[in-house]
Amino acid sequence: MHDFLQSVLVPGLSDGAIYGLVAVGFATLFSTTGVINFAHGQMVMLMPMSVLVAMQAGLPTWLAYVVALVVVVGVALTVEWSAVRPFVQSGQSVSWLLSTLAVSVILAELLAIPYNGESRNFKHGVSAHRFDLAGIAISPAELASIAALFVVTGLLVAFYRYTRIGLELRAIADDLDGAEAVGISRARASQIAMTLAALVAAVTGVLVASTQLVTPSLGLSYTFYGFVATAIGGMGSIGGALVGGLIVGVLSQAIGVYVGSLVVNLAVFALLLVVYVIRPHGLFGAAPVRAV
Amino acid sequence: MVHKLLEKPARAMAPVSRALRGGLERTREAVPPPVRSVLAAPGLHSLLMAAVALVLLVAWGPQSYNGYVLQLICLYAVATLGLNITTGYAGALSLGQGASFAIGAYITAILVASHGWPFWIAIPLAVLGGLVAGAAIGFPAGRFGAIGLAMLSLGLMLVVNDMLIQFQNVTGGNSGLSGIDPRLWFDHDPVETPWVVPTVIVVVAALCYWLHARYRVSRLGRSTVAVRDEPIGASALGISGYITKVAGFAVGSALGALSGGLFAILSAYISPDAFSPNLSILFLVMVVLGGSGSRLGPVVGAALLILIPLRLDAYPHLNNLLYGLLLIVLMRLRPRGLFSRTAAPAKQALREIAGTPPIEVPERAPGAPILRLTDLRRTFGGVNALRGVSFDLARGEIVGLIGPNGSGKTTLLNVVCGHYPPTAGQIELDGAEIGGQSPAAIARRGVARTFQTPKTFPGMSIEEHLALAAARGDREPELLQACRRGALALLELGGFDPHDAAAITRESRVMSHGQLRFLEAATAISACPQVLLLDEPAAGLSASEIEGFERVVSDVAAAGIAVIIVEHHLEMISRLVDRVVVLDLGTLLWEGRPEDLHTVDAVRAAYMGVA
Repeated sequence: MHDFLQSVLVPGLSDGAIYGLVAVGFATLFSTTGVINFAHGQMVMLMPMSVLVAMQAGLPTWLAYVVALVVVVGVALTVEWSAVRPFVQSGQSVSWLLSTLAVSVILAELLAIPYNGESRNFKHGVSAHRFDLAGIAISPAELASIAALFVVTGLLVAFYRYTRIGLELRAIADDLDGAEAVGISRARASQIAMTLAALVAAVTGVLVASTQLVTPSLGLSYTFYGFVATAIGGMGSIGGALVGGLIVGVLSQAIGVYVGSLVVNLAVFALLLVVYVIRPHGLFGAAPVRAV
Repeated sequence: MVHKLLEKPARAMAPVSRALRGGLERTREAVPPPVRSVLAAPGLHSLLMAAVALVLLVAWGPQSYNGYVLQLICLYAVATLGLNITTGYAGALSLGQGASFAIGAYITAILVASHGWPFWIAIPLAVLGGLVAGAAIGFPAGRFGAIGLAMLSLGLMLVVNDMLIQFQNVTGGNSGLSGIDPRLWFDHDPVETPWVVPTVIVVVAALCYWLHARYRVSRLGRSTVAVRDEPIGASALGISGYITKVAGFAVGSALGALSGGLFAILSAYISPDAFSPNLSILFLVMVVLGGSGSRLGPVVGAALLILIPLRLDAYPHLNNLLYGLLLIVLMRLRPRGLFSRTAAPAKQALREIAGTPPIEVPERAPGAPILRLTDLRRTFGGVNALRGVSFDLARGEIVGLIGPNGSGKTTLLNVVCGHYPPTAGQIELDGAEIGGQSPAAIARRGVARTFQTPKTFPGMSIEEHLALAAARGDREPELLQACRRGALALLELGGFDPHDAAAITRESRVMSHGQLRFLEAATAISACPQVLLLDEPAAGLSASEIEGFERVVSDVAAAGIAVIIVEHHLEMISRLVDRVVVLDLGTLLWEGRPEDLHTVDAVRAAYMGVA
């Protein structure tokens, strides 16, 4: 039991929190624009990479974080303008799948430039040094990941429910033409949603870098794992993303420990298949009532 | 508003591309029609491509660098043609073509290098492997939208890359497999002549081009494209979408594996490095650049994206950045690629319709009941859209279904067509219960319909619409003739001259709303249904168009087709129908002859708002 807690549940929940945060990032953009950003995984890796590059240039840590945040939001807004806005709530999924995939290719290539694509140690995040908590070794970084998932989810839910901008974003999501007719700007809504998603990605990125090596090529894997979490939770549901992420994290950790690390992708892939067959709209997503 | 800037080049290019297209059109017109149809035949294209490639190979030598590049283009074109079947025809975005390619390459390599099999047995087995893998992804994924398919195929790619390392005693792990030599028989020495592999690659590529074009005009291929363009419209013509997606995935993946097998034989050595996730994206960019769903596009896309990167090899990173930028710019400026035409020829159905002589229209006389609704109910959550509607429809009868907005008229049509199963009650068609069957199954039993907003297929030509609907099974000749005359009349009303080759091969995406309405109605009628359901057909039509439309509906009814017409145009209803059914809040308020409609108080209160 203790073994299970120590080697599966704790790291599983911590990884799961990362996948959950990726899924929350998807949901943030998707719920307003109807676009899933295939480059979100790369955005996650962009944050720690930018910090590393800025620090190598001699900036102090706090300034490196500020610069990195500016870079992430700047890139996000460029991506929004070039690859998301033309397809907001258009229903043409193939167009935005391709355009955001293209962004993913570009970002992955740019991320591979600074250190020739090799993994780097990141010492400027939350400490990964484990301490004893009620008999279980756990690191502040792992605790921070899990806490961040709940805090980010809570903040976003409150934002959508209680602020005027949040309401406007939901209006755009429900009926684009109607929302535009009452004076809500589609461009601004999509920019806000993208910025929020980028901020979530930045938080995720720092946490990823705190718990493991910064590997630029991991972006696509995070996209996939985050998407499986999204599929489990239900498209566009932020609460669902949270639950889905934790499920994927614990399951992949358990498979990694008990079966072997090379089977993890296969298991997650199988999980996605099972979800699609049993609950195609996820745990918290609803099937559309009317199709015609 | 910066994004307007990006649209400008597209507009600036418009006159140029129009002039080019005009020039092509004139050249085409100058060629006599029989020669034209030979020139357009995919078989001829294949032969020409193979001949050109072989001549180039002879000129350069099969083992020269140029010869190698040519073979590379040919084998990548095979994978790209396959991906075009999955993504272009079936509309299922696949990020897994690289996985199929890897599967094919490894099956071939393991059989040839490790077990000494002849390549001509190994490659077909590799194709089979790709087919199975594609079907395995397609079966669960066929039911979901583009996103699910994209993610499943992305997952497949990640899994395949892991498995290549995991089973390293079979696949050689990171060091790969070498010694993939072409043999003609088990454990023989490799063939000595350098010509075998290049010839095989060129011939296979040419065959695949031909196959890819044939797939598009086969019944399955046509259905596949219809489902891609408008799944609901396709189901109303009796086409079920699921199998087309699965087939698209399986066939596309099989060609990907074939291409991988050829790659293994050509390279003689393979390792996991050659099958990175970027390979799948490269195939996708080839398809999109060439023109997703077009016939020639994949080949051109493959050629361009092999040749250009070779010039840029000296600069690291540049190639992938270029693919990415190219893809973004394409999606913004030319999302349909260089070759944007996706319609394919389909002369037969239209020829039959155009060749049907005029017929003597008999008197209209309703016959035996064909459709019987008994206590039909349908709820959406807590909303009772239909609360127990019963009425009959006879052969050759026209029933007008009227009622205020929200009274359940369209829901009734949707339930009869199977888009929603009834919550309770019976729907009998010709004595058989059809409630709860799929829309496609009901359509195949002889129920055709039109929709409030026409559900036509933007990437298909007029003649293809008619080919999709071409009546199946055995219909009485008189009925068939009447339907074809009706369809012809509707096409003419829509301004389509069946003898004007340019007009009838135009894709329906460029047509106006009114034209689409006539095209949809012509398609529905040419399917020669037993029951025809029309949902507000007169909306947006002029008085003379409505008159022409009425005549067609009346004529096909006289030939024995039962018609339900939902319409707000009461004058049209009173001129055309035999019987009016009034719905209000999901219940049948009144039914009777149209001339009595205005005298019934309840109808006046509910529908016209007068007490």
